[in-house]
Amino acid sequence: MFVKLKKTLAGLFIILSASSCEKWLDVTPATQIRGEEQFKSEAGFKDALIGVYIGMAAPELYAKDMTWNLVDLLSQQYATLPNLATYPEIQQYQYRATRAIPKIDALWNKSYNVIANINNALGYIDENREVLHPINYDIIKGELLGLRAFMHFDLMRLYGYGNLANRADIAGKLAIPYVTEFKKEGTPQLSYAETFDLMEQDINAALELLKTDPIYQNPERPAGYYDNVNRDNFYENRGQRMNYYAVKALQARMLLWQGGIENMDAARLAAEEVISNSPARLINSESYPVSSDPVLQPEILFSLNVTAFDNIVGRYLNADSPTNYDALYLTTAAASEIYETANVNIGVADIRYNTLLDAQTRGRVSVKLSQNDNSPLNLMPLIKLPEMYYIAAEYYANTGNLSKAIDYLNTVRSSRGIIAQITEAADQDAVNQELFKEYRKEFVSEGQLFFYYKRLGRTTIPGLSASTIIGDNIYVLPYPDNEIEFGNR
Amino acid sequence: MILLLVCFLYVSASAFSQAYSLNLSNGGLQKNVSVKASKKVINLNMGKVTLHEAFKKIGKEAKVNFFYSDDELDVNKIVNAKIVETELSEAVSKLVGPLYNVEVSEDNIVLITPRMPSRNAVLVQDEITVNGKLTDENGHSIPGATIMVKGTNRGVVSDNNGTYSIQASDNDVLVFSFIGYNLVEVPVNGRSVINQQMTPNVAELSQVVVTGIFNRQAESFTGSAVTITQAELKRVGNANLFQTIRNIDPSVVVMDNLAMGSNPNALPEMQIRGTSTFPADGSLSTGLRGNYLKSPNQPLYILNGFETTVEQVYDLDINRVESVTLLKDAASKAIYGSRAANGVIVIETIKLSGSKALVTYNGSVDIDMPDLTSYNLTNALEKLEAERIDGMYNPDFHDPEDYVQLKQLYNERKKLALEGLDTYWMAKPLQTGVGQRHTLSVELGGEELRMLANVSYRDVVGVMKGSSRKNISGNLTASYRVKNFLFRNIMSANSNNAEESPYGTFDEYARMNPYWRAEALDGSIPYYAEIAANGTRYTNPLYNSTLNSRIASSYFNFTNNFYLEWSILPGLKAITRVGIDVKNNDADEFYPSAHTRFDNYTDQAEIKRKGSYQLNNGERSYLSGDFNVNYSKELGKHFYFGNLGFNVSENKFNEVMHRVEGFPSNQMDNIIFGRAYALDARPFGIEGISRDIGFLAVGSYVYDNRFLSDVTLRTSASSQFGADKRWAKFWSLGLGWNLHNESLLKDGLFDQLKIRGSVGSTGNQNFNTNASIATYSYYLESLYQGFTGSYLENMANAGLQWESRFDYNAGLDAKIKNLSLRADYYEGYTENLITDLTIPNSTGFTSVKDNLGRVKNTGYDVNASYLVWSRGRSFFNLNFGIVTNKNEIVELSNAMRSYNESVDAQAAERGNNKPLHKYEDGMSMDAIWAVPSLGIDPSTGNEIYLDREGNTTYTWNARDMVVVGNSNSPYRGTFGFSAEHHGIGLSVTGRYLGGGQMYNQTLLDKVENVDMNYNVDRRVLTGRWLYAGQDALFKRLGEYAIVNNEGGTTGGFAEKTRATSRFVQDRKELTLAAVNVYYDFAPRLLTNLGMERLKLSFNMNEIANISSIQIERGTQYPFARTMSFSVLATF
Repeated sequence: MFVKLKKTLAGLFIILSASSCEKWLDVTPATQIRGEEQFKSEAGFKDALIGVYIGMAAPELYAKDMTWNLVDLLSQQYATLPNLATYPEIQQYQYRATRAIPKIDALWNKSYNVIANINNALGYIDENREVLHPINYDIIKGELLGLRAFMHFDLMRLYGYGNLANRADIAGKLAIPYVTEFKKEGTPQLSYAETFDLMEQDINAALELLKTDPIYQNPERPAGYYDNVNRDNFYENRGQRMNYYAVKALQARMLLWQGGIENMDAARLAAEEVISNSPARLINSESYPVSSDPVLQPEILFSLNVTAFDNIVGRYLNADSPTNYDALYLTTAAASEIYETANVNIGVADIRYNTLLDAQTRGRVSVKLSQNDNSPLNLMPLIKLPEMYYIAAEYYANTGNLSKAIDYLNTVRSSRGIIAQITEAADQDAVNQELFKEYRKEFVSEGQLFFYYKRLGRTTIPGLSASTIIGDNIYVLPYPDNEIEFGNR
Repeated sequence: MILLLVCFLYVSASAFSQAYSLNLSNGGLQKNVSVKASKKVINLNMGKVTLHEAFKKIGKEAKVNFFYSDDELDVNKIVNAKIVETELSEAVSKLVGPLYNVEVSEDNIVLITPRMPSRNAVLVQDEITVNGKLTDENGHSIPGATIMVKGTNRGVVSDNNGTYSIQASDNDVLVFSFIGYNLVEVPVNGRSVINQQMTPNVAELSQVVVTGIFNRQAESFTGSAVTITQAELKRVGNANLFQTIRNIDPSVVVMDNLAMGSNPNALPEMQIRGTSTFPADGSLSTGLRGNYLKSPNQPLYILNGFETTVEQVYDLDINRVESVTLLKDAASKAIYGSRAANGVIVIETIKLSGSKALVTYNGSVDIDMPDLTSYNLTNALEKLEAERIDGMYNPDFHDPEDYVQLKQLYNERKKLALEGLDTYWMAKPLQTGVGQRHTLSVELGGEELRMLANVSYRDVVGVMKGSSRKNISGNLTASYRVKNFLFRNIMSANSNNAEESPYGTFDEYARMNPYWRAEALDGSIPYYAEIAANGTRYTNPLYNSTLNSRIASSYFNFTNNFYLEWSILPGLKAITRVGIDVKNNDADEFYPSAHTRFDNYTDQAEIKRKGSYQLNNGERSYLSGDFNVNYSKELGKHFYFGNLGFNVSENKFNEVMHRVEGFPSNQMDNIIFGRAYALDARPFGIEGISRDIGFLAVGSYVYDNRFLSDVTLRTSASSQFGADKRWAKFWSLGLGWNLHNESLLKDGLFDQLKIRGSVGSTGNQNFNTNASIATYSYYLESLYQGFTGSYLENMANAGLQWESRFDYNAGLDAKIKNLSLRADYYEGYTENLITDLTIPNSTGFTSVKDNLGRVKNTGYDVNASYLVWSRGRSFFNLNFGIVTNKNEIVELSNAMRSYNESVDAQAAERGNNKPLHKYEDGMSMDAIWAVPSLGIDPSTGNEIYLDREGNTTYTWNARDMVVVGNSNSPYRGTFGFSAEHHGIGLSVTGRYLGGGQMYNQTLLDKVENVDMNYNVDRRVLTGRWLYAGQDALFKRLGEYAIVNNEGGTTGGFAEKTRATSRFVQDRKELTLAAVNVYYDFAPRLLTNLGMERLKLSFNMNEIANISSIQIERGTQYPFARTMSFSVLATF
């Protein structure tokens, strides 16, 4: 009797403590989707990838602060905000002000949240490779890696030092943490060089994988190559995703940011590849209906699709109401100065002045992001073709090949309708000065101008009083307190 | 207060003990006068006579006197007085039996004294073998019962079939005993077969600790457990278990609900031995009605061996309860391992009682009367005066038009008030609730199959008109015995219907101005209570009572618990149990378009949105099973007990809620008539599933009933925890020493003196979501290129584990004559609290759920009862209990820093008017945080604060907040008495608490944070600062403007008084909690009526509350005093 009972009990124990029991305990409510479940199917990977883009299109990131609002306020292109506005402290570089801290922190937090989403998906993509069609695997993983580099790069441009090539002290400094794993422990910071290495690895891997990208011209691809995987048009509109040329352009940006002639040369090469191979083309101001497509879609290399963008941006583009304290506009004087309206052949002819700026009661408002009530585009451009021309021009200007530099600049200028061309007689400084002007003209409400100043380590910023001391205190945003304390930064 | 009370107890105790000693001396000794005699030979042939007659005869013949105590020797015992030529002492000895010593002194006195049981008192007598069978009240055999020869330590245990065999002599008395049954003494009288039927003993239950998995004998148990019988429960209230348990054991705290008062539909929250973890995030359950989420500090409720919910316990018919056992320390609760950290409440329903058919009826009428004594509102004239002083009738910018309007308004109001209009708004929605309860139970069946069927109806009618809670339940308990198997099944179904008052909440009435009309002169109820001269309109909440609004929820609950007990060998038992518990709930909340809440829906779009409906649907299923084998064995002085068990369970629930609006007509009262989902609303709900398995091993060893030990090992796994920490081990060790069984103390003062100690760990898993794994959600509002996207919801933590509580307990049980004392000291450390740990933001998240920190709870529980007097069924008993609790956060604050910062920010908002919980080392979890206040500046009327540097300031700053009080009273207790004489019983129970503080929120809200447009506390008129130089208690009022996100400003918000020590008041409270009077008809009166029992009782609950704080209690629903008349009849 006892023996029998013991046997039965022992059997019971074995059955229950076996792995089946562990499995039985692996349950979660249907309203919670376990990470493992999410990545058991192709659809799950696609949803996670799209989720990353939706995350990037949040107002704390590229739909507002990372582009036309916070970062552009730092570049001083807009008229001074009144104290009743939401962002005046940011504009005044008071990063420690009570109202500024949450905005700066949100930018950091949300960026790393997007990175965490990328990392978790990347963690599963090799593990569950068998659920993905090879084309899907290549493109999804390529996009994810490109996005990881993109996010980190922008964090680095905001929270790291600028003017890297000309600073001796950089070697001993630590860059932002480059996070490649989804885990609760903080990632240690590395030096700038090591961090750029990681970024380059991601970019190179992405470029390799994205050779499968439909946007990448590959004559060997058989017809109907994408028919099977693109039934749902998942790979249409590549300009709204981290495509091959977006990664290439990012590479150019990143190399230029590191500075030094070698890097600039490599950046120029990448930029020229984009210029010549990508389907993006500069518009022709005479024939192109700029007013009905103010973001200039043909020039977009990478942009985000922002749901209900008008709800985010609309309020800021109204400088008619005197009580709309947050309105972003250029004072009439500033607009005239930037676009050189004194010269009719330059300013008045420029579509960026005559079409993309709207004269309102208080000043001129950039209408690039203004959404048409009937057919809003909901597009936030992040990388556009002219920047590639500027990168190339900057390299040539700094290596003495002035005519090539002028050529690149003039191409953009004429595309914009500027009649007066830069003369061949211009010297290096003059070319660089023209480049500087182009940056100011081109990037209104696109969030790139501040980085241009920072990259060059400019000690003056137009729009700021000469007495303002400009240095790391302005160029480097502070890490969130919790990051410093709990990450031992 | 405490001191006074103790004094009272002492005085009365000593008074009664005097009476008692007098009583004793009455029952003295019998003494006869002596002559002379020495060696005498007796011859006697009287046959069967009483001992008394035999003594008389011997006394006459031998000229001796007998000396004995009536209490010790029953002289009316029949003896066989046939003695031939026997020496006197031997002859007497033969008559009185071997249990007595007989001595003949030289002055011819025969002294008869009881023989002290001792080992060498083995009598050389002719022994016979007595056989027999023991049966229970149903005629089933009782295995494992003890059969002892009285006065010796010889004994046997009945075997599997209930039969026994023992050596005994002719004159011996056999003592049959079995747990839960009355002790029976049977003289052998030469019989060789004695079959005995045992009767169950209800009072005996307290000798057993019902752990819900197995029963343990109280005497040999080392844990700290309290068992309460139904009779005790009913003595201290009959409304629901929460109300009664708190009146018996003060270590059980039912949390104050000053807002919900005596709302019959508000579920109480209970805590045992202090707060050990963070409160639940209330935002999770807003609008949900299913009560599926557990509160993190709530104890584990076990009903008939299966886990149950607060709601089920609340709705349980108290007449069905047989016993409630509170398991408080590690040794007693560790068998529940991962679920037991907050203590366990084990409830058993009534078992089959006797072998004959019985019909029992319980009925009662319950009367709820509103208790508004805590309110102190102004009357019409006072209110007007307060308004005038406040400047309500002074125009803002000396605008003459404004001036005229305001004066008109004032005069209009004044006229009404002078005419005698003084509406007593508070009475409008109130009633005296008359509820009723009926329980009918029928017990029937034969030898093998027996059943107990029970139907009960309960209607609790609240003091707000229209609020009620109805339960209709049916239960069927069946038991069937075949050979060694006992099947038992308890099936129970409960249908509940809860209605909230259509009148709205009580505060809507309490704030109405007395110079407003609730009813027009013609008796109709107007929509507006006042349309002021300046056009301002004030809606009349009473108008809502004329509408068909409906706030109701209902549920249906079915449980079936099946038990199979297999007695394999004597002492070895296997028990399998399977429980199913399913519940469906739904709730409707409908406000028709005419409801005053839509008064401000004025523009075209809003008018369409008038009328709202909320519909909830939910369900829960709980499946649970366990298998236990236990073995007990007594070998000489050694007693062994062991239990091995395995359990598995699954709990699933979900609830969905829909909010719809736009019901143009009042008649359209179904959700399908709604226009659309409420603005910005989507279907909302919760869903949960968790699975658990566990293994249990319990061992107990007792030596000689003196040295006791208990060991428990438990390992469990739950789906709620991280894959790396899925399995957790819990254990306990208990040791005890029955000092009263030591030979030194055996004959002394102590009937019982046990010291015991235990140590061990248990876990808490009252958490609702699985935070250990990374989960994904979908963006519902955004698409990207037309595709949907998902995102990570949280940071994963595979190492997440149980919160565990480590308990130390030392206790003492003593019984000295009529005084029973039970004292415990405990120290509990809650560790691994699950909380949000701040992590570097570069991980992608700002926090992760992690185990952190230590919270310490220490305190004493002391309960004493003194039986002042008893005779037969009559008694007078006093009882007193006190518990203390000290709560301290040992290490936590660093991890809680970001949380505390967010709390500081919330506290600093100018619209905030209450202190918030902060957690810092060395402080209590229940600490009240506020800025120290020095009072009101007489010259400005502003409050003066003390900042952290010790300087005075007018500026309130969150960083100056310090601990200014503790909302958990450091001591609390109960006291009372119960008595019965000739079937009439009376018991009175009181509760007290003190040492803690309370933030007088309602005073603050009705005096400082007031809206002068509505009614206020009288103290607005008398205590507020008005003019420079006034020494006022309450500050002047101010206004402030808010800068909104868009940069605009909105002004005119009344500045709220933020957390300040000025409103922290010491809290001492004395509550007359329950009075119970009953009359139990004497059996001889009932036999004529064909009844077994008839008992009438009267209960009053929550009769009076004396508090050191004047605070409005019951803001949304008033408190009530209840009275209830009940009858119990058994046929």
